Amino acid sequence: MTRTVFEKAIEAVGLVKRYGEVQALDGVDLEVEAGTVFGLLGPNGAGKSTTVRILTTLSRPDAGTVCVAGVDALRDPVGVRRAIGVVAQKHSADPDATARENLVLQAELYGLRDRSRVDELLERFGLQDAADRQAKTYSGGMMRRLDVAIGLIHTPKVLFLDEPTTGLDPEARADLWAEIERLAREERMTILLTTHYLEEADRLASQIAIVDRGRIVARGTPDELKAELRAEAPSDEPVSLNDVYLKHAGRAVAA
Amino acid sequence: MTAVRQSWQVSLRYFRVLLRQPAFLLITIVQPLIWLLLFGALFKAVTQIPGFGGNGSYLDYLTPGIVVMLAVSSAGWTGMGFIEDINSGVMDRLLVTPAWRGAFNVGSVAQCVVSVVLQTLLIIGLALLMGAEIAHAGVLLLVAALLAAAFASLSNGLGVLTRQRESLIGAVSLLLLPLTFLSSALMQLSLAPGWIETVAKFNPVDWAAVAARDPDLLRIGLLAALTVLSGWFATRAFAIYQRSL
Repeated sequence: MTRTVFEKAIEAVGLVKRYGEVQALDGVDLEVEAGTVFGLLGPNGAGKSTTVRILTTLSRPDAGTVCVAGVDALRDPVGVRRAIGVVAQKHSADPDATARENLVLQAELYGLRDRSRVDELLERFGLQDAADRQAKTYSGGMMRRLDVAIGLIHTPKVLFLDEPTTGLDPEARADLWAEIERLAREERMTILLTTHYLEEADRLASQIAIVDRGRIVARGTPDELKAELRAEAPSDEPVSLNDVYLKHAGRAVAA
Repeated sequence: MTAVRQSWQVSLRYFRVLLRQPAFLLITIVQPLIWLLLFGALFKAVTQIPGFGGNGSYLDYLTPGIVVMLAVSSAGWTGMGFIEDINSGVMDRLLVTPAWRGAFNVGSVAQCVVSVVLQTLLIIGLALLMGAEIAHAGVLLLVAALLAAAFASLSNGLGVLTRQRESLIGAVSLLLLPLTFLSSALMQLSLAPGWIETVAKFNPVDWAAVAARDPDLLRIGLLAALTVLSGWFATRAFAIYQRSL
């Protein structure tokens, strides 16, 4: 079991990122408590993936500081890489390799030689029967499960899931939700999840930040965000996270 | 140790791709044989040009030339794999691991080098069957491997930097013929215009062709240095790629 020795699993201050004329991030601050599930919500192009790329050391900010799992990501990116797992928006499994080969390569890249972890993950994600088939023959749900298994090979302290359920059918989505809840509860993993599905953030995340046009426009627990809206516009109708989202990022959705 | 093991594990990925595509494997085997027969037939008369100085058969001269030409052309396409990895998302997954960046390049280069060495062995075998005398088969294998490694790294670096198939195809098409014809791969340079002889002094393909026929440490050393330099370039390319993300 992973023991966390840091209180803040993620601490990012003043992240700025520009691509030519486009201001992708315009001063993003994030704090994620260790052992919690954090939801980063926002419309497409709001800056969610850019934030994840910076937090996972794939990209560097033009300004700002990043600390992940107690390690300075700008000074010691390799130290951060050892501590984190990443499931990107795109499929990251090699389609020409089998699930087992994908997992073995991933284990070796972390210096792990023990193959029992590979078998364990194949079984946990229901891939043992397909383990020796090329990944390109898999269904969308199987491929996604393999992506997640790859991200978990070294039992990371902090797991990044970038729109993990986009494109999945309802059943596969429910399965993945259950797995995310299990990781947070049983393995006490810190999870940062980006999504544009509000019910996903509402169900899984204990803290939410809404990002729009490269800025955090709202943050709090799902209930706090709903209560805030109810106080502003009292009504007898139950408030959903959708209303909160529309209030803060509505302009961007419409644009 | 870790670097070697990681490179080996990465290379397994590419060897499997090769083995799982029988058509590709067949092309890898057949291509060098076609080249030897074709170029051998076409350039047979070359050795009869006065001043060529060929004292053996035409095949003795052409075999090393065909080997180096094949090494460069096979290696040139290596970067296609990285372009595919970048577009599919596999590359980002590899880059968020703590693995040594060089392992991704070395693993892919290893597959290219092994393919080229096998192709070279096939060419040598066929040339011997056709009655050629290969004086320095070991050196030929060495320079083919070095040349392939250098150009495979170069191709990988270019692939990572441009991220576009078209750019790499363009670069390979643009460079392949000049590199071959501005060298002694197929023709004695004493018969070529003076400027070609001068340019060839800076051409790695010429270093390989000359060294394979008449081994000299300087040219082999230059090839080894180029291999290291290209490997460094390909490894650095990942950092430049990440800076653009």
